Amino acid sequence: MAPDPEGFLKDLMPTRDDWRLLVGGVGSANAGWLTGMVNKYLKWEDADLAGALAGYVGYKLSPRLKGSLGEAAKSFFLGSLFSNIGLAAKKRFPQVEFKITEAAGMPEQPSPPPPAAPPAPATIEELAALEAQISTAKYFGK
Amino acid sequence: MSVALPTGVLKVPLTISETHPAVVLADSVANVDSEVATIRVPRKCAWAFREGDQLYLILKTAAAATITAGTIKVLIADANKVMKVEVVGPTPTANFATLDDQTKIFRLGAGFDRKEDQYIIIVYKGADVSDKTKTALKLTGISFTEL
Repeated sequence: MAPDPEGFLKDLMPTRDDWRLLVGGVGSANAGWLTGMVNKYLKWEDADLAGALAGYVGYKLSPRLKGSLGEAAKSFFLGSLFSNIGLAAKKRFPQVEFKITEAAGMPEQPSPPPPAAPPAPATIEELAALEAQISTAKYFGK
Repeated sequence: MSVALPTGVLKVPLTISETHPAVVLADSVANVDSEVATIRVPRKCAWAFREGDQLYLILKTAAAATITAGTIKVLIADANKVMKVEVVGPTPTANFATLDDQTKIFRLGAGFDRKEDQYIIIVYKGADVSDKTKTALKLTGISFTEL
């Protein structure tokens, strides 16, 4: 049975609770800031791991703040936590590299330089031969 | 396309007439390929004849009657006249009779060149006998000279 298009669109409409996503986005965008601030004291070799730890602690402690402030802190630290987990994990696991492959038959190296121009004629014989081949007689009127 | 000339080479337009020192004229023999004009490229020179260059030739009998029958062809030859190559095939004599009407003058169909001591030979074949003293010629081209 096909989904009701109206219900489908209705689900996509933003709601008032979606502000958490924005705050989470701000937290994600500032993951580096949180990492830098925390690692200033922890001085871990893997700063992202320290950032992830700080995000986790903040996420866990945020319910202690009541009301919207707690919700905002929770979203912020959750965003930072996800980003830092991603950054820390990126260093430890091989990444899939997307590479645009060359079309079949196309060489990867740049095309070879064009052939060098033939040497300029130096003798009168060569000049005459070239003149006879490349020039046409023109009539300029009387 | 322009080509820079080396130092000491002069490039000038060339007009070869029947009085040009490189030209040797001869009478023709009836119904035989006759070399009525033999042009030998001077020393220190190379000549280029381009597509579109003009060839004008008037042959007359001893009685000063202009020859209109027969054919003319142009050959190029090496300095020993061992190898001859036709650069203008047998063409009616009347085709070469126009001097200044740009719509009727005979023009070379393709370019060729000759270096010093090589030959350009104009051959006539026809029933009439031409008199070399009454031959008129004009062949245009470009001359390269070593100074």
